Amino acid sequence: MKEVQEIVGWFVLRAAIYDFLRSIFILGPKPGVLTALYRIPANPYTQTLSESLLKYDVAGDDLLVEHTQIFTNPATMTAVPYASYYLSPSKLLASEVTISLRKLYAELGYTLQDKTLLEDHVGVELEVMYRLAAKTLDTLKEGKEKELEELIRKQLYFIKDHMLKWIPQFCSDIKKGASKDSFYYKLAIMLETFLADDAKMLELVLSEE
Amino acid sequence: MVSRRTFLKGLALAGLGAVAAYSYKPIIDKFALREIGEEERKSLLEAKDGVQVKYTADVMCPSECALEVWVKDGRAIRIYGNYASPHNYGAVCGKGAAGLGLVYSPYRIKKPMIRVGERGEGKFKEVSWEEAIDYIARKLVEIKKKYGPESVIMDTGDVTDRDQYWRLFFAFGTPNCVEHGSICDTPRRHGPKLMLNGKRIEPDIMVPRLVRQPDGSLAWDFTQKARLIIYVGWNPFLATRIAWESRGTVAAKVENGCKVIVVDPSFSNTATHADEWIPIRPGTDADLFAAMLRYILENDDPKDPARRYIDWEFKKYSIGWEDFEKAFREWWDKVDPVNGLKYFTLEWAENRTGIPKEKIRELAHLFGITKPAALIWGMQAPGHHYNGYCASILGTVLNIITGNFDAPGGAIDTEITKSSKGGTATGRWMLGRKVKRIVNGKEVEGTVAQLHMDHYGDWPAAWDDVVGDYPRRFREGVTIRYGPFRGHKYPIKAYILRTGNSVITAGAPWDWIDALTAKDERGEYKVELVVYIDTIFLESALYADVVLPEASYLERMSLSDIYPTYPMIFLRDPVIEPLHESKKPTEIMNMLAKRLYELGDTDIKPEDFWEKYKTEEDFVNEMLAVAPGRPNTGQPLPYPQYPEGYTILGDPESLEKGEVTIDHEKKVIRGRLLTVKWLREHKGVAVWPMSWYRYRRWDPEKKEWVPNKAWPPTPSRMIELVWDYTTPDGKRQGLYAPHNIKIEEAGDIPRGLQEIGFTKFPRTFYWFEQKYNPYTNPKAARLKTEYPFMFISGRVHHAMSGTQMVASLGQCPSEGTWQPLNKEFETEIEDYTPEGIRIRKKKFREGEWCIATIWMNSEDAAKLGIKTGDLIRVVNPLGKHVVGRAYVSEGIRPGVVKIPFATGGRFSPGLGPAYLHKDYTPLDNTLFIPDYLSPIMGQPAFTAIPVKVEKL
Ligand code: SF4
Repeated sequence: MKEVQEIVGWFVLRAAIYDFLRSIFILGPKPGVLTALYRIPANPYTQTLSESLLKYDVAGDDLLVEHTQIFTNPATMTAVPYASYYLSPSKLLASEVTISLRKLYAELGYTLQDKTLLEDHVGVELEVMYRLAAKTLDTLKEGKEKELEELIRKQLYFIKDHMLKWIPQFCSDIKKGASKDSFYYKLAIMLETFLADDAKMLELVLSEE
Repeated sequence: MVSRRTFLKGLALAGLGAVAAYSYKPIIDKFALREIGEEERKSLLEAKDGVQVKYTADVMCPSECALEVWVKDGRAIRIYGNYASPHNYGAVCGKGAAGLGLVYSPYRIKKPMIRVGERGEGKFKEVSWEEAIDYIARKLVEIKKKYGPESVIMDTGDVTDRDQYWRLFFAFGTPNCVEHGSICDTPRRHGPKLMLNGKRIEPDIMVPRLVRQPDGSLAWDFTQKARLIIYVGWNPFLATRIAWESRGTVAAKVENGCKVIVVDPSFSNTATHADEWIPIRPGTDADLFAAMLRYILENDDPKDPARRYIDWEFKKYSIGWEDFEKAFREWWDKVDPVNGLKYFTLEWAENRTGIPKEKIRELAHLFGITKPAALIWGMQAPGHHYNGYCASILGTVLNIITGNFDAPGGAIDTEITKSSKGGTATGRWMLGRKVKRIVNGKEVEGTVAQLHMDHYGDWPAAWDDVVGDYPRRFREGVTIRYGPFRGHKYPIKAYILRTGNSVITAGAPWDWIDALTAKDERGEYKVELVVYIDTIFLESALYADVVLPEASYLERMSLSDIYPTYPMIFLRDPVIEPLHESKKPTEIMNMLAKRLYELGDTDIKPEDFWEKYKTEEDFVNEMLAVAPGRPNTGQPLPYPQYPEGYTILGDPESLEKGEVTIDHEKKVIRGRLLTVKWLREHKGVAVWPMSWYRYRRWDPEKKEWVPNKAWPPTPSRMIELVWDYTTPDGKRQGLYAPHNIKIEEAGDIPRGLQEIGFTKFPRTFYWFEQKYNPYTNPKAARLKTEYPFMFISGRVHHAMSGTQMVASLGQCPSEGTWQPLNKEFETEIEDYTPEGIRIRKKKFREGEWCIATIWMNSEDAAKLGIKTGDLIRVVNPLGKHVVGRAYVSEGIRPGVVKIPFATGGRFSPGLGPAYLHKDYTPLDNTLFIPDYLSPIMGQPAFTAIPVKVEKL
């Protein structure tokens, strides 16, 4: 049952990581978000991130400026935090990709309440994953096997058929705007690897073998 | 290995223990998503969101066309023209249709930002709206306390829906609210203003027109009546697009055999549609008009049908012709030191304009004899000329005396015929508030208006919110020279810019950058606060301390009413919700007002802002309450059922149905006031009937036409050919009178007038030469050898300042200033397919993409060994220069170089491909000479500047 224990540990960890990721992309590097990093059980993903934070003056604006220069400032931004930019042939925001996600979220039982965001904002997609990951934990607790399988399937589908279609490119765009030892460079690597690993793990859980 | 089933089962079982101990608390309990119940879920999934058709108005260029937008799932998916508006009558141009590229651009300003680096460095941090507003409000309160509210300039740039911002800053206490028009074509508007209290004269070719029929019904009239249109320096096809004017010019030609003549140093896009192109020397439009007027006066013969140029009836409807004519004729015997010829003769004009005198005679004769006709002059020229005032005065007079003013098919002043809007919402009444200042140790009282930096400063005739001397104000501050506050000095400490790009468009960019980055001895920026409010991020944003995202034109509400020849108005209606964190002007106004109030600004009253305007609709409804606000005059009378000469208010429907009250004392016919709701029910458009000869009425007793004394809206309600006169009852009147009174009281001659040797604003016709024109001013003659070329500029509609992010438009060449002379590069380009916009990466080889080019004549080029594509440098007498690729053709007069307006040298990233070409494309305003300010109102003389050309 060691394998099983490991997987459970992963399920607990991934919920925390998705929570951190959605927060950092939606709220930016707010102190409350950054300190949450240290609450996450030890793991290789957030480890490098916390380390990279050491070089920043947490009371200063450096990290926020880095974030703004990469994602927000039209004169400097290198990464567009919306799936539409990467997936819609129009490369415009609020595209058909956004609308299809709206329907998908409704199927999953959610709707966007923060109107300053769009459904395909990276932070919103990560929030969906966080919600589902948290639900997975609940389902686990309740021991609902059928629901659990269904839920994992949905998450795998969302990561593989949607997120992994654009996040890797998005992450390499983040790297274009960040120096190698910066927090956001590390965050880009972490996001990409974590998503891929999560997909692998979920796949493993669902595999017949 | 266990099978999947067992595995999951095991997992579920094992999970129980491991997970039960672990309870995870989210980092923040604020969520982007919320959970929905089964019912909401079902309704969301089953919702069949069809296409909704909504009506609004464009802002992609000054035409502000009426649009029909298709919206699906809350997303705008298509933009078309709106047929309900006679302005563009269903048409939308390529750029307008490409508007979604701007609204949904990934490079929009999405969140408020505060500068962290130096100005110009482009380094910002995201902040919340509350933080941004608090930052601005604190600074404003501090500046107000230290220097007075007048040291704040609110500049609303290019877009016409500015009223919320002006209202707030009027309340704050500054009269210095300006817009791009404040430094744009003010000399062009001067003549119509003086004589008609108008602004811009346009040909009567806007169709369809709504016209009252003899049987009392209303019908759409499509007939083109114009027989001759002379466009001087006016390029409605490409530079300042006016949707109905380009359409109407072609229609008048085809349907009515109207002759179209274009006078322009370059073979402009409009010239390509003309019967004749007359290449004139830059800066000599006034000379041409003066010669035309002299010829017409000397050769008019009422008895000879072949020379019946003047329609002497005009005298009945005007005052001051004798004075005007006398002042004009006084020049006739004087000899011009430049050429030894008598002023305004054909020979004289030939020498100065470079147009053969036979051609000038023909033009004058043709204009005199052809009726109806319209003489139209432009924005870039003479609107940007040092002496453009003389041209616009002469042009207006030529239209008036030939009987073309407000005649069917003639020349119409669009300012005084379009619908009114704004009313009390603009907050202009607050300018009348009394304030006190200590001047030279004494407390004096006056109104907020009397603190205006130009109107009471160096440029007392700077009416219509004109700005005289922009960047210099930032460095040197303001000295009030007229009115009660004479002697009062204040610095400019805050500059709030909304939807504009002053750094590029409002003077020399190097001068602007210098002014915005100048520091005091403590190392602080002299202009303590710079705010940039817009949807897109242009160069000026790089110099801002705070950047605020404004809702785009598809997301906010306001009104459009651009240059129509009769009253109409159309709604800019939000068709989608504001994207990202952008906010609507009404909300921004209320937020900032509230914060100022909380910080103790007692000039801001809740009842003037957030308590009064709960929504933007409240604000726009107040603006609409004065529509159409024009008198019931002209033939056919718009409303024969109502008293003639009374002001009309209300929506077209109630006026038609007779649901009105008539106030005989105030002479007002009041229907149901126009509202946003009414407009929405009528495709966003309100149109009232057109009439002509709006200045006259039929006198049944005299059995003749007489002035109706209701229109034009001049002080005498007559056409005024004198501008400072005394009425029979001893009142000083005329458009210049109040300003001359200011000058007399202060005993201080404005600096512009001093420069041309005037002591006050002339009573009637005047003439002066351009300061730096070596061909017309002996004092500038020395420039001829070293700077043998004249530089002119002109807009390229689809590549204008703020809209270059629509990359595909760059592929369309126009004139000699926007040509495929690029270096090889790669960009993303959009394709328009039935499924919508498709973006692909494409490599453009050399010569496949349009860039800003420098247009010059082949003869000149041959002499300098220049051919198309060569890199050349254009240098002005200050040594400032631009570099760009030459485009050589016969389509421009020898001795002239033309550079497109604000399209080259664009240094803000995120502007699409334009940025990639910045190092070898010219930014025209670099060549502007900051002290080349037209002397009457201070308008920068952006064009007709002597330069030299060098091959690199
Ligand atoms: S002419 Fe101007 S306002 Fe009209 S559709 Fe084109 S860009 Fe828009």
